[in-house]
Amino acid sequence: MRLTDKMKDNERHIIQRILRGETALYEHFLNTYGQQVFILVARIVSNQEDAEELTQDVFLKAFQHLSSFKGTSSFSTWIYSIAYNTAISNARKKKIDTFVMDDALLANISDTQVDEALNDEREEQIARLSSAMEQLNSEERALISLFYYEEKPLNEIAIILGLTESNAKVKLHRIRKKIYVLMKQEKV
Amino acid sequence: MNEELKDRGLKKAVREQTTFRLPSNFTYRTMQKVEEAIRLREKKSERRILLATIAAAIFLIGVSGTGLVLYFGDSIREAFTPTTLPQSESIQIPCFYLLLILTIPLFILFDRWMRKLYFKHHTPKLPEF
Repeated sequence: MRLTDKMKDNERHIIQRILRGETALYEHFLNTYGQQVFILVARIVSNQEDAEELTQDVFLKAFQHLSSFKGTSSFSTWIYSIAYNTAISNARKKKIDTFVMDDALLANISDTQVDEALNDEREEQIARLSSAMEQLNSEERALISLFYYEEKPLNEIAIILGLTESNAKVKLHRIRKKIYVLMKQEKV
Repeated sequence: MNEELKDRGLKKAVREQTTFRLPSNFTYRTMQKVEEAIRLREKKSERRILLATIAAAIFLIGVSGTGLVLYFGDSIREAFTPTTLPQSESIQIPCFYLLLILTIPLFILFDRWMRKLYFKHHTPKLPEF
């Protein structure tokens, strides 16, 4: 049995016990996923206090709907999707202006150029990348965070964001190009 | 390009950007909220059960009342209509005092027998050597 399958089984067992009344066991999920969920939420809403409150809401929602968790995906995928939806709806309410890019502009950029720019680890390049990422919208920031920080596979990211796997792949490809364009604009 | 070696700069930038940290008492605070939610849910279900019980009781009273009226309506009406009762002086209980005299000694005997049985079972037994 693989480690992830073992973990999944263990978590399913804990959920069953929580549903039978051992609610204190919910602490396990808070300790295991609290920080990761918080980082995803914080990247989407870009505010520490809001992120703290929303993370608490996410775990409360998950607890209240624990009986609807079927176990087809892992608990982490499930909690991440709740976190993503909660944070995105909060960010949409606040309507933070973000940079909208023309699709035709992105289509003209070669993949080699993008690969080279995003692979550069020099300090000045990292600083430019950071400031370019700040101009992305909340959905894009979430995808970047899940792929590059949490290192989640695309099929899992697709479930979390409510997309198909190919759609998630296309989005990631577009975001990489967008970051490249934003970096170039900063240079000028 | 090898996927492992791809976007190393971007990965580094994403990692360096993470300055957010959850407060140490987050788990404790959230568990308190969870417990509060459980309490609220229990209260809600208790209220629902109470309302359901009241509704069921009202329904049963209504149904039984209707049933009684349908099946024994005439008898009930008859029972509540005033009838001419015989005068209390005219009711004769000839052996009333005789029965009283007979019953009192019987009760005294019964009482003594019961006391005997009680003390027989409740007195502590002395140890046998």
